[in-house]
Order: sequence, then C-alpha cells, then structure tokens
Amino acid sequence: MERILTIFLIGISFGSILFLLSAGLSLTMGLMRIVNLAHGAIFMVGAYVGLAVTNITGHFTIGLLGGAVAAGLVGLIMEAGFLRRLYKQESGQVLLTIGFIYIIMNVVQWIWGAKPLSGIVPGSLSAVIGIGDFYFPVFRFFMIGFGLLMAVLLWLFQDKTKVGATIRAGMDNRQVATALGINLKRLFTAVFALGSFVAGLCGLLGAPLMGINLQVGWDALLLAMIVVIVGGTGSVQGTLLGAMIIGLVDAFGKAYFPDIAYFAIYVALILILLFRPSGLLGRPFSIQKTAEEMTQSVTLSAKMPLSIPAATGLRKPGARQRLYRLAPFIGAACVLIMLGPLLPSFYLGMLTKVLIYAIFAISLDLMMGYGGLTSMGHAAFLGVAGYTVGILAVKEGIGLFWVLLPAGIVVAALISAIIGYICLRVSGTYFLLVTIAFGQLLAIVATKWYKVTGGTDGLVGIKRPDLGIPGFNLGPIGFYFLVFIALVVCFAVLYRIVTSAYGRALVGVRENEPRMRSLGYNTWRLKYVAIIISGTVAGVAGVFLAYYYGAMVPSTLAIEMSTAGMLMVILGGPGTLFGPFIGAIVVVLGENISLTYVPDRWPLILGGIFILCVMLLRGGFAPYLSRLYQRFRPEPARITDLGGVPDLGEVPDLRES
Amino acid sequence: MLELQNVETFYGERQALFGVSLAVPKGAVVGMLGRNGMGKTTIIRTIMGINPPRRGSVRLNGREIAGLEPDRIARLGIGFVPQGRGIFPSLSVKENLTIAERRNEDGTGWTLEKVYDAFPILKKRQRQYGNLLSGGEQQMLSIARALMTNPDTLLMDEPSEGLAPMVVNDISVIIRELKASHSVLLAEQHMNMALAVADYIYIINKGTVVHESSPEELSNNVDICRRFLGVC
Amino acid sequence: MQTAVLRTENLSKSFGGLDVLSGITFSAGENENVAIIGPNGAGKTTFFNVLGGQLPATSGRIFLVGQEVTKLPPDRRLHLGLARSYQINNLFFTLSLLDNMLLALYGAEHSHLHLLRSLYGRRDYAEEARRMLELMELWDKRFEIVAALSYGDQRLVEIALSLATKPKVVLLDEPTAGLPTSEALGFAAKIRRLTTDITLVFCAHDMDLVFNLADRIAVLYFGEILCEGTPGEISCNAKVQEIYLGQGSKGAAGNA
Ligand SMILES: Nc1ncnc2c1ncn2[C@@H]1O[C@H](COP(=O)(O)OP(=O)(O)OP(=O)(O)O)[C@@H](O)[C@H]1O
Ligand SMILES: Nc1ncnc2c1ncn2[C@@H]1O[C@H](COP(=O)(O)OP(=O)(O)OP(=O)(O)O)[C@@H](O)[C@H]1O
Ligand SMILES: [Mg+2]
Ligand SMILES: [Mg+2]
Repeated sequence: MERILTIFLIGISFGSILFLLSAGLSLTMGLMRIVNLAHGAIFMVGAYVGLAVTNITGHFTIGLLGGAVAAGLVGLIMEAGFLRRLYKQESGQVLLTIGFIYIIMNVVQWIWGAKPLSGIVPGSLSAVIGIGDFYFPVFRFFMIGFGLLMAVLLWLFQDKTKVGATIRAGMDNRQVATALGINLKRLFTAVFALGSFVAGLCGLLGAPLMGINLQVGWDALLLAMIVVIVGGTGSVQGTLLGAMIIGLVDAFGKAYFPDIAYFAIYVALILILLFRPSGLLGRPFSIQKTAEEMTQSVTLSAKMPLSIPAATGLRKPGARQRLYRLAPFIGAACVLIMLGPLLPSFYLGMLTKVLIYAIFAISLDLMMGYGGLTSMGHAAFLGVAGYTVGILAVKEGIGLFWVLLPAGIVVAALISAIIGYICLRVSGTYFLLVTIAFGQLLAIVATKWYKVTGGTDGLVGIKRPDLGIPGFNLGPIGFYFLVFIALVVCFAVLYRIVTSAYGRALVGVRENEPRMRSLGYNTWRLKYVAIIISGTVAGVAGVFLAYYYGAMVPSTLAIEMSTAGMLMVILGGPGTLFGPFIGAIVVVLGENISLTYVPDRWPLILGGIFILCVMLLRGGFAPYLSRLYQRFRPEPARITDLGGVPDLGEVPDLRES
Repeated sequence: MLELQNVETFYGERQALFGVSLAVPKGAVVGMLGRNGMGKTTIIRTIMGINPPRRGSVRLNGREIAGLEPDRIARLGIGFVPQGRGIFPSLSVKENLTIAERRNEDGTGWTLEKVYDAFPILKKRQRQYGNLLSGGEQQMLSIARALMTNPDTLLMDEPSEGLAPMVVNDISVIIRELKASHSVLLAEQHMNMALAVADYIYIINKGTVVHESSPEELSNNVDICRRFLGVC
Repeated sequence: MQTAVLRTENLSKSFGGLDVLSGITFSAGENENVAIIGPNGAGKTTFFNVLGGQLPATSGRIFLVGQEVTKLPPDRRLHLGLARSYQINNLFFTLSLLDNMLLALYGAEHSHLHLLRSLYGRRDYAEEARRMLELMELWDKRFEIVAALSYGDQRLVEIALSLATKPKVVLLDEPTAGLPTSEALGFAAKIRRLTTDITLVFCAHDMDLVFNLADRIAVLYFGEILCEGTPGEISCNAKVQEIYLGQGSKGAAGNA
C-alpha cells in the first residue's frame, strides 16, 4: 500500500512538472496553432540559465525567475521576429522552430559544454518524509503544489479573460479580427512569451527529474507533445489531465515493468489515438484557412508558376516541346553519369550520399508536397529498411543484393502501412506530432533491443552489395551507378504518379478535403496510399544508406534524419520533384563543407539555413529555377496531331500573366 | 465624414480600383451597386486598410487614414461587416460579440443586451459555435458584432446576402434606424433594398464610379440601370 | 407524382438538445425541380447536409432511387447519383478552373488509384469539361486559378462541380447567394440548361429564382415541412406570407 502511494506521489509530482512543461505548448498550439518544436529547447534554456543564476546569486527563487525570464525572452524573439510572419504555415513553423532547436542547443553547448549538469534542490526543501518504509522528498511536494498553483492561474487567465477567445478569433480569421479593432500582433507575442516563460520556470524546477543536459531539449519536447495529444490542446484542464496520466503511467510503468517502461507512455499515446483522436478533453484540431487567406496566398505567389506542370500535357506536345521539358532531366543525368568515373573517391562518396538523400527527399515530397501530409517521422521508413538489410546481412549473413533490396522495401512498406493507419486517425498538426512520436518510438526500439539491433553500437559490417555475378565485385563507382539507377527509377515512378490522375486527386485532397469527399473521393484511401508509396520509396533510400555507411545506428531513425529530409523538401520546393533533389544537393554539400571547416558549429549553421530558408525562400528554389528556365521556352509548336484529345489549348505562358 | 479621392488599389500586379472618389457624409446611408467583381468589396477593404490603396487618399473626418493598420482604422470608429460574414467559427455567438466590444467614452451605445434585443435569435443561440449558425443567423451576428464596436461609420458588404425576404426588411429597418447615429456605406446586390434605404447611390463598374445620384433619380434612369446593373 | 428518385422517411436531426429537423418526409420525382424555402435557420442547409451525408441523421431513413443510403458516407452517395453544392463557396481555390472541373469529373469514377494514367489525357473528361464550361461561358477562363475569378463566376463553378458527375439528383444550397437579383434569372437559365434530365432540389431566398425554376415548392419551418405545393399555391398561402415572405416581397412573388 505504501509502495503504491509512493509511486502515486512520484507520478503526480512528475505530472506536475509535465504540466508546467506542456502548458505553454498547449497554449500556443491549441490556440495559436503554432507548432513550436523548440519548446523543449526553451525549457532547456530555462534550466541552464536558472542553474547559472542560482549559482551566481545563491538564491533558488531568483534562479527560477532568471531561467523563466531568459526562456520568455527567447520566446519573445522567436514570435516577434519570425513566427509572426508564419501564421498558419505549418511546415514553415516546423522548419523555423527546428532551426531554433539546433541554434539553441549549439549555443548552450558552446557556453556550458556538453557534459550533463545536475539539478539542485534548495536546502529548505531537501528534507524527506517517511511513508511507511519509503522516503519521499519534500521537494516533490513543492513541485506538486507549484504545478497546481500555476494550473489555477493559467486557467483563470485563459478562461476568465477574453484573451483565449480573442486569440481563437485571430486564428479563425485574422483579417476580420484585425478589422474589428483588435491588435493581434501584441497579443500573440505576449501569449507566446508567456508560454515560454512558464516552460522556463519549470526548467530548473524539473531538473532533478529531467536532468540538465543537451538531450533534454528533445526529450522535453517529446514528453510535452505526448501530454498535449493525450489531454487535448487548448484547455488547461486537458493539459493537466494529460500530464497527470502520463506522469502516473510512467511512474507505475517504471516500478512494475522496468524493462519496457520506456514504451508505456507510447502505448498510452497510441491507445488514445485509436480511440479518442482529439485527446481526452480536446476539440478536433484543424487549421482552417478562410477562402480569403487562400486567395491571398495565391495573390502572393501570383507570379510563380502554379501547380499545373502536368497541365502542359493538355495539348499533345510537339517534339520540340517534349525535348524542352525533358532537357533539364537528361542534362542532369548526363552530368551525373560523367561525374561517376571522373570524381576522386572522396567526392564520389559525397555524391553517392547526395543521390541516396535525394531518393529520401522525393519520397517525402509525395506525402508532404503533394498530399499535404507533413511528416516528421519519415526517417522511420528509411530506418527500418536499413535495419532489415543490416540484420539480414550482419546477423544472418545473407549477402545477395537481390534478396536484401526487396526485403528492405517490403518491410518499409509494411511499417508504413501500419504507422500510416494509426497516424491517419488524426490530421494536420496532430498528424505531424504523431509521426514524430512514431519515429522516436522506433528509434528507442533500435536503441533498446540490443540482441537484434546492436543497441547504440548499431550493426556494423554491412558489405557492398553482392549482385550475385560470379567474379564481379562492386567497387565505389559501381555502387554509385547502382544508386544512380535506383534514383532514376524512383524519380520516374514518382513523376508518373504525381502527374497521374491519382496525383491530381491527391493535390485536391491537400487543397480541400471535405469537398473531395463530396465529389465522390474516398480521401482516406488516397492519403493512405500516398503514405505507403512514400514509405516504400523511402525504404529504397534506407537500403542504400545501410550499404553506404556499411552500418546502421539508431540515429538514422531519429528525428534529425526526418528533419533533414524535410529541409531538403522545403528548401528545394515542395510539390515539385526536382526541387527536393536540389535540396538534397545543397544540404549534403553544406554539411560536408561545414564539417571540414567548423566541425563544432555545423548545427548552428544548419539552424541558420533553416531560418533563412523559411523566411526568405517561400516555395523553395524550384519556382525560381523553373521561371529562369522558362526564359528558354521555345515558341509553342503548331499542333500536328491531336491524337484524339480535344484541343483544350496550350497552358498560357506564365511569364505573361 | 468619410471621403475617398482617386483611390487606386491593386491585388498584386492586378489593378482593381482605377481612381475611385466617393463620400459618405455624416448621418447618411450611401449605397454602392454594381455587378459581381466590379470592385465594391475592394473599396470597402481599401477603406478598412486590409488592401491599402497604392495611390489616392482616404480621409475620415479630415484625417488621412490610408496606410494605417486595420486595427487602428477600426478604433478610429469604423465598423466592418465583411462579405461572407466572417464569423469566427470556433467562438460561441456570445464570444463573437464580446471580443469585438468597445464602449463609447460616455458609456452610451450598443451593449450586449441591446444587441440581443435587436436580434433575439442570437440570444437564443448564444452558446452555440459561430459556424453552426444558419447562414442568415451568421449574417445577423456579423452585423451585431460590428455594432458592438460602437462605430461612427459602418461599412456593410452585402448584408442582405442569404437572408429571407422578411429578414431583409428587418435589416433595412435597422439600417434606417442606424442612420440617426451612424453613417453607413453599403455595398449591395439587392437593388430594391439599396434603393429603399440609401440616401445616395454610387454605381461601380470595372473599378470606377460610373454614376452617382439619389435613388429616385436612378430608378428613373432606365439606361443606366440596364447598362450597369442589367435590369430594366 | 412519378417515381421518387430521392425520398426521406421521418428524417430527424438534432444537435444536443436542439431539434433542427423533426420528422421530415419528403420526396422528389424524376426530373422534378423542387425548391425548399423557409426562414433563416429553418433547417434547409442541415437537411442538405443530412441528405448529402455530411452529417449523420439522428433518426429516419433516406432512399436514393429505391436504395437506402442513410448510413453511407458522402463519396458512396455520390456514386449512387447524389451530388450537392454549398451555400458558401467550397472550391479548390488554388487550382485552375480546368483542374477543378477535371477533379469533379474524375470523382465519379469508382476507384481513384490510377497511378499511371493522366487526368489530362482523358478524352471524355476533356470534352465534358469543355461542354460545361462553354455552357457557363467560362471556357475562356479555364486556366485561371479559381481564387482569381469573380465571386459570381465562383458561384457558377460551385454548381458546375456538383453537376459534373452527371448525378441523378443534385442539391443546390442557395445557388445564387451573393449574386445581384438582376442576374438571378440569367443564372436560372444557365442552371436549367445544365440540369436537363436531373432531379433538382434547391433552396434559395431569392423568390425570382424560386418561382422561375421550381415545379414544386416545399416550405420548411422550424424543422418541419409546413406545406407543399405549386408556386402558385404557395405564393397565395397566407401562412407563408406571414412567416416568410413578409409584405415587401409580394411584388417578387407576383412576377411568377
Ligand atoms: N485576392 C484577389 N486577388 C486577385 N484579384 C482579386 C482578388 N480579390 C478580388 N479580385 C479581383 O478584383 C476585382 C474586384 O473584386 P471585388 O471583390 O471588389 O468585386 P465586388 O464588386 O465586391 O463583387 P461581388 O459583388 O461579387 O462581391 C475582381 O475582378 C476580382 O477578380
Ligand atoms: N452543428 C450544429 N449544432 C447545433 N446547432 C446547429 C448545428 N447546425 C445547425 N444548427 C442550428 O440549426 C438551425 C438550422 O440551421 P440551417 O443552417 O439548416 O438553417 P437554414 O435553413 O439553412 O438557414 P439559412 O437560410 O439562414 O441558411 C439553426 O438555428 C442553426 O443554428
Ligand atoms: Mg463583394
Ligand atoms: Mg442555409
């Protein structure tokens, strides 16, 4: 009995910390629809700064406040400087806040070093209370009390003032809210900073439970996300409930099933998703764009080529036009073929990596750019395929490429079918959060399942593909060409798909899913198929990545890999297949160059790229490139043979419009 | 007094208003008629600061307001009833009203109770989410919400859209009552209603004012009606 | 009346405690044009949402050409021949007009997993899109993004999308909302041209349109059908005058 009480109290106190951690995220995500992935990093800032201030001043309370103010300031800068211009642009927010994670973590590492620090418990609260045979720290009671106090304050703030309603109004229809005389800018900044402030407040407070180290930024983010999904966004009560449930599940899981305690909260998450996708106390969550907002975004990009690349097929193109359309691809292929034998081996390796990443990026683009399904767990598909290859090759000693490739692809397809099924229970921002959680779940499996995956050491010793031709060994150049062929095949297949009737329907779902449904489409199936195709192609990339490194480690499954893919897509231009390809070149080259010259600051630079890319390159490189290319457009050829297709006309030259 | 002089407004590169001049005197209801896509909404959005003019001036009581942020313009005393109503779907009816609330300095003017008196159905539905109201109820809410800001000047973009004939009459009555304390600029498709409530009419065609006169004069001018409004 | 293409039995819908539709028994025959009128908030849009499958019915049954569809999702109902348009434009605003049309035409197909075949190579779709857009005089604007079309044109597109699949029954929710009264008649003519051989059920507050287009009118009042009849009967009905038309609209009714 006493044991249960103690575990219960441990759970509740952890839950209180989780509440403080998640309250800000729930506020900004539930009301302002901002996907702030840097929330965990902000929490981390609170912890580090709080500790430093406590050490300097000697006062724990001042330390708490100092950490909170620092975190609040980071939030202030993020909102007022950047996020303000990205409202309702989910993928932009994601990329921006990831950029901030990299920057914040790197700066923290710069200042405080990579070694973990330990949290402090002020002298006055360091006593313990005996509960039967067990001892329970007073500090934990302080956490519970503080958490509840903040819950009441936040609830009063959100429900008893007009603030909550006003923010929701601003999100529903910014234009109208402003035109009714509401100054939304100030309000949004203030609320965002408040959320960060609260997270920072619990940075130091929660340090004895969460630790103070560089990993905590990601850990805290995941926990906060799970709390928010379980409880439902936007209401203080929901967050509190979610936090307590997760705290208790974690505490009891650790006490009774220590081996698999790690998965307990994920199981809770999956159950909630399957049976109550909008969270225990949440309302269904979706970002609705008003017709006007859609119109506006169109006006903004009025000069850019619209998403009608395939429409050029309306009139049977003449030979010249077909050549014009294919020329860049043929050119790129020729360059890649010629580079193969010419490049020194170091650069050839780099180029091989570019091509593998390009396969990964275009696969993500099908989901993200065409289907509007922003996924941040895409590395999971790549990773499971890679691990399949690794396990079969290293543990089972199977070397034949023609076995390993299909095996990897099939496993990736299966996993994407399973994960996709669960993720499609939710949409929009929730979808994104759930994909993160699944990616992380698989990464944990890879870390913990030592017998099969080799744990953190990974699987080492995967040899170059054995093509089964006697007396023929694949060298680096041969491997390069193998990857090249795979890319060409994947690209061609995906190109065919996105220009197919199905591809257009997928775009329709991205634009207006309810209307698609009433036009007779089973939109769920369209999206599900997109996820499976996308996961399968990512599997191809995974197989080759395993060969490329000759090893598989858990980080290939992790969120960093997924975000890298996302960066390539957004940098290059979502909704165009060649864009992500260019994105892959830029990212891989950037990484290599930076690792050569400033090895410790690559995350900082990467973060900077993320932010610049989001703020300056709306729509990525692709629109600029294709506009440039359109300068060389040949005269519309006279049509000779319509091939039975009625003359719908040539798509107007976009330069003129 | 609200005055527009030679206003030119663009959507991106596309020009929508080509030098519009019009005036809304104090205590008057001024109607704008015109076919679809001729620029009525654009005029209203220009005044509101949502699409600021590239050239020309917009003056409120002699003060230049072109270029100010929409929330500033609203607080100077302009109320806005957007086309398509612009109800906040995730707010209850009551919240839709209260977040817009702005009292006059002397404490007079529209309050929640007065608005509920004017539109009893809103009181009945006050806990319901905005997007679950019927089209007509949303329209009433939109007007009520604009009144809650206690403006001197009201910009109404097709308030009769989607309303039952009887409610259109009610709204006309309300607009006529508002005239005592507010100036109103009204964009309408419902010609009979506009003619019935307005003191002065402008006809907008292709982003310019092509005709202005009193409603009586307009109803007698068959030629203008046929050319710009498609009626005889 | 001929055979009923669309029929409801005791159809009810309530939200929480609020009964919005209570026991509606309604039917529309082949090629009939039925108008549903009624005050704001009477439940017309809700009725359409329940018929179209956007909202589940609380009780009662819906039949389409004799087959019960009460529990089917919207996409299945469409395949059985029931299409609808929306009171507030609900389009693919960032796609071209032609893309909108092609998506609507493709919707009628049973599977949408044609991973290899292009939408633009479909001769039948292309011809149909051209025919419809020409009927609506929108052919010249086919490459414009829908967001850049004027409101009136968007209204037309809204209707065109619902008609593209050659449905047996089409539900039009205030087709002329936001159009000038003077243009409603021209609009009605266009709808007529597009909906030959289709059962048309529509609601509108524009009496010119109603009396011009409808063969029969049903008056919905607080979730119940108050009365039904020919336009002539309805316009003389004293109760309808009182609750709906008001004095101001006698003129409009008289036009019919
Ligand atoms: N966001 C936009 N981007 C580009 N063009 C636009 C945009 N909004 C409106 N337009 C164009 O500006 C012109 C004027 O439109 P506006 O909406 O002001 O017309 P309106 O008179 O209010 O029409 P309606 O009666 O249909 O509401 C139209 O030609 C329209 O196509
Ligand atoms: N999801 C919902 N929850 C609660 N009430 C609702 C919901 N949807 C509609 N209502 C209510 O049901 C009533 C009928 O609404 P409906 O939209 O069907 O009216 P309508 O006849 O289309 O009116 P209008 O002519 O104004 O468009 C309204 O009073 C509305 O507030
Ligand atoms: Mg307008
Ligand atoms: Mg309605």
